[in-house]
Amino acid sequence: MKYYDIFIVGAGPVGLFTVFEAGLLGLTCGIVDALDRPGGQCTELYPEKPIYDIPGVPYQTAQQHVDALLEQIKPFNYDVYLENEILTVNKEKENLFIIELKSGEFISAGCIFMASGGGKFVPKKPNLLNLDVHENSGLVNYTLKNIDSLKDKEVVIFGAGDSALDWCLLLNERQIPKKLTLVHRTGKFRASPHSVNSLMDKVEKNEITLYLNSNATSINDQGITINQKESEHFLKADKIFMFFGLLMSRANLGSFESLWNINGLINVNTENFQTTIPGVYAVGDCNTYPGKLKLILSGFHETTLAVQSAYKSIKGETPEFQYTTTSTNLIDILKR
Amino acid sequence: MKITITDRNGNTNDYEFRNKQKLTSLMVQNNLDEGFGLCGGFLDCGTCHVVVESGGSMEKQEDEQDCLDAFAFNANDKSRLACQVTLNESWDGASIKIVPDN
Repeated sequence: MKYYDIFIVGAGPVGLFTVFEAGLLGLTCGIVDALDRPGGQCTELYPEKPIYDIPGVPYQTAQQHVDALLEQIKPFNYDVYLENEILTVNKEKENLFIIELKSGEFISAGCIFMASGGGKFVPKKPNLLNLDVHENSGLVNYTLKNIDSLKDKEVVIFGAGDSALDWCLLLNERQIPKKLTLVHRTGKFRASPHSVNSLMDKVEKNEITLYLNSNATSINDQGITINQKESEHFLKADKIFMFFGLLMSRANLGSFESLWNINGLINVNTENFQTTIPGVYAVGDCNTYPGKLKLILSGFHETTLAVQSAYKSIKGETPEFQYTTTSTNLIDILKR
Repeated sequence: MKITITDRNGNTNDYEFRNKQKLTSLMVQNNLDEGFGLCGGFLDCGTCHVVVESGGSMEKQEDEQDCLDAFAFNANDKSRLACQVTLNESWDGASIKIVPDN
């Protein structure tokens, strides 16, 4: 079983910076994230948005910020478990947690850092009877990864945002599916005007079938039924993709679920950002304490102090305090 | 000025606000923002969906309605996106409910 001194939940800015601070003290890290790439909210939701309040960095887009953090932690060895999450976690003894991941892997860790921000991203789903059965069979999907697997298939896409339209147009352009249908709940799209125009052009040419003002009402293993005003249509489908956007839900904490307070945050002390369970820390937007501000820079401060405490607890001694500017040890590790 | 907010757990409380304060900022201040406002107010997610039960204003831009249509499942004619609401005297005494599962 792989061991890490620190197992981090969440690969957003604060989770990534935890790897840096831990690395300076010689602690090893593993990170788990529900998404398929590191960066958290910054990458997933607003990669192009500017950030102005990182000390010493007058301007960075959110993605540039994540890229810079990934560059900053390059000198250190760490593992990232993507599209994964904690299923169960047990505290065996002081400084030893056993974690089971959704993928089936078991991991041991000296301590756990919750850096899960606003929560894990999950797709929005419609209310349909037996939806889960058809998710498990592979009929209903919320992400599209391998477009070639849709060759000669009948594909139905739901949604009105950029994801729905972009995929629809790409599949059409590559002429992959046998039949391509787009369904939207109302009559207006929420995507770039260029995409909407291209779509309407393809609809006119009968390359894409479009149903507006339509909702899914039932589903079986052959396809999905939608209603449009008074009439019902059965859309035969080999693959259905639903792009209704994302929701955030609390990151899974296994048997430590009780750490979440009523507001969906984790209470910590401000000395070392430890929770009520020794060895479990919470840093960044997922924690709360008197005076808390949900800022990336606050998360950096929190995790820096938390890592010091984790070191003390795992190694049984206070870490030697060193500056990266003068410590020859650190300079050797960090210099490029 | 005060506004009454029912949170996702069904708890109802009054919250004081300043004139011209954004509704989302009031919610963040009071820890009412779990799973709320993913896109940061850019009309890209619809997760800050609230229903106005009384008072307030239903005047919205076309963009806000489009976003509600695309991303908020249970939207109705009382729906607003908190990120687009600037509180003022018309919201004094108003009552809103955070939609439990957008």
